Amino acid sequence: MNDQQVDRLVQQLDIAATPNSEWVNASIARLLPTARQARRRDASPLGRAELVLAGLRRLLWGSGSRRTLLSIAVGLLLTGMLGTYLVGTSNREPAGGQTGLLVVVTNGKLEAIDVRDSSTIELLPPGTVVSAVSRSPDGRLLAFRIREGSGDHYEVMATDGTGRRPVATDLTVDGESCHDVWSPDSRFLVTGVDVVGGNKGRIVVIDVSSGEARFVTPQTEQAGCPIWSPDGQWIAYTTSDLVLERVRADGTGSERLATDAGGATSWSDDGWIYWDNPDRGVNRTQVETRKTGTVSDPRFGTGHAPALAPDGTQLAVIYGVQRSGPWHLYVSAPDGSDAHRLASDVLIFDGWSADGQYLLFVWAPPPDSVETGGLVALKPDGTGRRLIRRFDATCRPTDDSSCFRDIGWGQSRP
Amino acid sequence: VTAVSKVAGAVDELHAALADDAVFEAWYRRTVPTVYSYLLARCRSAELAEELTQETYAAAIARRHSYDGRSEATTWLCGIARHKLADHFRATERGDRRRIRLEVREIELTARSSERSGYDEHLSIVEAFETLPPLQRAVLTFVALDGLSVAEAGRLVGKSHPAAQSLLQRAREGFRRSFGGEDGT
Repeated sequence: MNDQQVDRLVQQLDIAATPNSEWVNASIARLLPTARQARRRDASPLGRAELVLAGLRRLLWGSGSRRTLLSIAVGLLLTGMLGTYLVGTSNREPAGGQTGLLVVVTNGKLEAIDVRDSSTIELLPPGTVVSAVSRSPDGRLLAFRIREGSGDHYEVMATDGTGRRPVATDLTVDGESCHDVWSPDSRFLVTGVDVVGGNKGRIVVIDVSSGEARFVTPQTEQAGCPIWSPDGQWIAYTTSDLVLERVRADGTGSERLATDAGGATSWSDDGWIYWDNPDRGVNRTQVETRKTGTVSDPRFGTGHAPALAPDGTQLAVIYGVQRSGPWHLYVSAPDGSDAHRLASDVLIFDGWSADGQYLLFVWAPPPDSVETGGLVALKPDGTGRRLIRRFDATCRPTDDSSCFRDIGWGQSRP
Repeated sequence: VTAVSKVAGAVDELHAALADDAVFEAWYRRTVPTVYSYLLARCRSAELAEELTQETYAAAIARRHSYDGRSEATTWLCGIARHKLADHFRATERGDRRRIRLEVREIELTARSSERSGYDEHLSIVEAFETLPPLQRAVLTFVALDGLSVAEAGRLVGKSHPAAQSLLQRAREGFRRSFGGEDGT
């Protein structure tokens, strides 16, 4: 048998095979995080530079003279890029671009989602139980509660998962919070808490930089659902007897604004505080004059969960004929006029992104639909609808449980 | 369609696969049978082929900018797989040396190749191939199956051209002996 015959025999080994389908599925699941990481890197300034270089290499790499020219060009380009990078890092935008990362707790995991491409990173080790997640308006920080022993403690970290540290270390809290809200300058967090071993329904402001916490409502008052004024000087909240009040961020100057009010959700630049009430629909109260008026349109049903766009030009409200839904998302002028429907079968409305580019809601199609629901973002003009996360197979969404336990996108949520 | 647009299209396809989970999954499902088949044919172990396939795709994502689009994506992937395979053969060789168990297990085959059925012949090829020490198997694989030059095969396994030539010669002799019997006919 000569060498050629040996080689021909060996070549018979080269036959097609089909990998095990279960292994293929598992392999995809293992590779997806790597692919997402690559996606994120390609979107970064350095990644974009690498893409440009790779493109140049493909176009120009050829003969020796071309190679020399290319080497010179690449050298010049690298120098330019390095300069641009060094200048750019001083005011580099946070991950997730202008809109910033969307942070979500789903299935007990805290994840940051880049809505531009739905890439996701898990921010905490598996098994870490967190709640009350919120993201700063500048997109750089997130805060959350972490369960330890008899109660919850607050921690903050950067949205890329680094710099995790405790804040308000003297505070052990319990119970469901409304939604924790960051001050417009991304320095303070305001929240309504039940203090373990203390009073229920206290409004507390946490200085994220120093880690210090201070109560801004008296021990004798039960309150919740705080929001910041646009200038960050005041906090509005609702007491347990449905009185809308405001107080300065240092805890002084408490004032009653309206009665029979539900939770406040938005505060406009021109001094309107928006709130809803299960029986009265969506209302707004002018802080200076105390004037209160309804802004929801009864033709569409009962309005609920108002959220003013960050620039104050539009108001988003969900309407339902029955309390059990279905709910439909409408956008109108800030006074409720010119309302038009943007989406149907909205289970939970989660408000606006901090840059006003997107509205976010949990979409639950009717039971007879073949479609799978999930977390959806769309632009206020009704375009760009994206299913960011599908419901997990184990999820059975209801009015009380949307399968996305906590969501933070830099704005107060309705 | 010009060559340039073909190249750009192939590169764009890879970038599109990395830009969306669903597209990545479709791309993976389309390309993985070729990569897996390539590896399984050469390493002869489904478990190892799976492991190396996984490593190949992870490396491909890491080296995504090196894909120039002048070949099919599967050809590029198999090129990466070939390096993974060479790494495996080298590591196996080192492991064998450490254990001082470098021995060629020769299979007694009484029947001649001409007398075997197709299935038996394939089995005999597999068995003869598997008797070869890792580096001999690697060089024979890269030359006979992949069509590389001896020098290229040598570079893959970290050997000089003469050393690779020697490995190839010994691989063919070993295969001939195991497949054809003691006399190697």
